[in-house]
Amino acid sequence: MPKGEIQESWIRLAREGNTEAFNKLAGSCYHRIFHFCMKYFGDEDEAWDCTQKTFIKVYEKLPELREEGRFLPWIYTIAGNYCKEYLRSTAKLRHLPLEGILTPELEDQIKLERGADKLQRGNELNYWIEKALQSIPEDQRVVVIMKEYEGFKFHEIASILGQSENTVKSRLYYGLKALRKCFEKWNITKDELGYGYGR
Amino acid sequence: MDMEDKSKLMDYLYNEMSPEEIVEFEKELASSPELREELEEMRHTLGMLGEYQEEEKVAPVFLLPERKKSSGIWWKTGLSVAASLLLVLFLAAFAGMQLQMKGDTWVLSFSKNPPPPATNFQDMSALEQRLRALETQQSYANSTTKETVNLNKDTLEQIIHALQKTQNEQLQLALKGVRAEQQEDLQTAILTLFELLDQRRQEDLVLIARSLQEVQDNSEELFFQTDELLGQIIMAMNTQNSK
Repeated sequence: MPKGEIQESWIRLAREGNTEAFNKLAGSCYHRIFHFCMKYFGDEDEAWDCTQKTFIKVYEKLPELREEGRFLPWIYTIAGNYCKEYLRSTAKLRHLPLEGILTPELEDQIKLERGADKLQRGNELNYWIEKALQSIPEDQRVVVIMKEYEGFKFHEIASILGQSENTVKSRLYYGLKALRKCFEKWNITKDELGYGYGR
Repeated sequence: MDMEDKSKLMDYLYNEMSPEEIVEFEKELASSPELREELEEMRHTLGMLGEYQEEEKVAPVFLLPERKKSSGIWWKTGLSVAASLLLVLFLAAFAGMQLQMKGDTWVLSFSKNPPPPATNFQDMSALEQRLRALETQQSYANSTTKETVNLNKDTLEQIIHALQKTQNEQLQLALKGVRAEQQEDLQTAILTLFELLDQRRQEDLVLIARSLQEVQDNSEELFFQTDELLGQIIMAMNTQNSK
């Protein structure tokens, strides 16, 4: 069986309360949900937190899922809702006024250190992509992640988000344009990334 | 570029067009440098996004609570319904409920009297007969109920009295036992305390004696050392004087 494939029998068994089947089911899509959240937040702790909550919710609500074939769009709907809720609940914390507390030099230093920390843990381009995704509006970001990384069709994204296909396409178009602007502003290109960062 | 063009661009970019739509859109592309430029920019951005490398994440083992199975609920519900029916039947038997069919009518009664003859109340004589039967039944029921209540009250009083008596006796016995135990415990505690104090006193005495002995030994040694020193000093002084 290919890696990440979901067996409908696991869904049926997990629905009846079989923990082993649920763990197999979770194992098959945990990676995808985690990285969806990771790109959404650009922060591993927040991504981990939302992924855990998503799977707990999945276990609770699984008996309500009637069609096994709808499992993936369904789990993304849950994950998307949790991400949005989390973002809303932490919005105040994210926009704490730091003026007067931190000097511009100190803020730059913090940003640099945070970036360096991420760069130590992985690929440099990952850091800039995550940073770019964070700088575009949330509704565009979700569509970009679902289309570009999760590989959903436009009608599937429309169904998950409860929007029309045209709205989804429009958000994707503007999201990609905004990302392009970010990369240009930071002077990020694939070829140049081998020479370090700090531009 | 209008919204339709943008929508088509997205479909083309993600290969969600039919072959006919692709042919048509490529014609548009050929004639529009602006559209071609936009497409190139989009492809470049997607190329950048495609470089994202996902670190492998393994799902933790979820230890989840057992979900209650629906069959269990039905089984329990069935059992409760059966128990309720049994209770109703028991109460009905206790109240002397009788259900009989007389002619076309079902008759339900709550006494040990035979049920009155069934009637469809077609004429007045039948109605009167029915009323008389009901009165008889009512008076019988009243007398039976009173008798039952009296009997129950007497019996209950006797039972309560017996229970109170037994309870009092048991309470007194328990109190007596507790008091005896407490006294015994107190005596044991006092004895233990005395023993402990005595032991402690003995230990203290031994300790004092040992300390005194040590002081005595030390004093003797000190005296000896002092004598020795004094002797040396005297000898030294004598030697100096003789010189």
